[in-house]
Amino acid sequence: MSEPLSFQVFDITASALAAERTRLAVIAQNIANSEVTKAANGQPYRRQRVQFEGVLAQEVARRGKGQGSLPAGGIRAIVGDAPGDFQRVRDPGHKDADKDGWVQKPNVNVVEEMVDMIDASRTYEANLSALRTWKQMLSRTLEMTR
Amino acid sequence: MSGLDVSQVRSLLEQAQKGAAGKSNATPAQDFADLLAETSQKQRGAEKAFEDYAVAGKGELHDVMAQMAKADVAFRFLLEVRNKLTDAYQEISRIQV
Repeated sequence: MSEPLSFQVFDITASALAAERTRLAVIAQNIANSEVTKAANGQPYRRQRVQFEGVLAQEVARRGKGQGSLPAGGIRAIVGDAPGDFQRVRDPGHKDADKDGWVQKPNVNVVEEMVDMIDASRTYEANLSALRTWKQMLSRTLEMTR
Repeated sequence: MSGLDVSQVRSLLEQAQKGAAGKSNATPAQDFADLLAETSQKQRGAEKAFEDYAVAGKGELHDVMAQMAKADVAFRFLLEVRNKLTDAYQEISRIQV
């Protein structure tokens, strides 16, 4: 049996909050790794980016809403490599410099990450506001019989 | 209240009786028990989410809060229904015989 809309809203908002938290975690990772010239694969760190995807009603109907699956109307975050060339900086004597003294640095722009962070934080707040308003509406509805 | 006349009330009553007859031997008490069970299930869900998060370290904070919010709304709905039921009972028990 599926839940009434009154309760689905909570799950939908929760999925959005989860997605925004993933986004903030990825931003933190990008900033932390913004100077890493040699990651596990030997290349400089490649910026990760988060893209959002809606969860469709059909998919929920197909899979059923088991544990860990998301509600219809919710969203999920997909993390992947961001395209873009690595920065090249001349820094002879750097441990990862090539024979001409050039160092490849990650394609992370910390300023962009900060802007993204504001966006993520504000979107998180917007979702919380939606949830708070929804709860207030439900409370007012419960007062109808008084 | 100009638009409501007796025939409308009667048809509404008939509809309500049909609706009640559609569910097999459902009494208000049975409905209330179902609601109680459902509310209790929501509370168990919130409790489980809380335990998973706080004790087992699984899950996410916002999920716990969402489950708790759900349980809160469900419980307050239950309270309203109970208040209405007890009000109705007291109203009836005050009838002079």
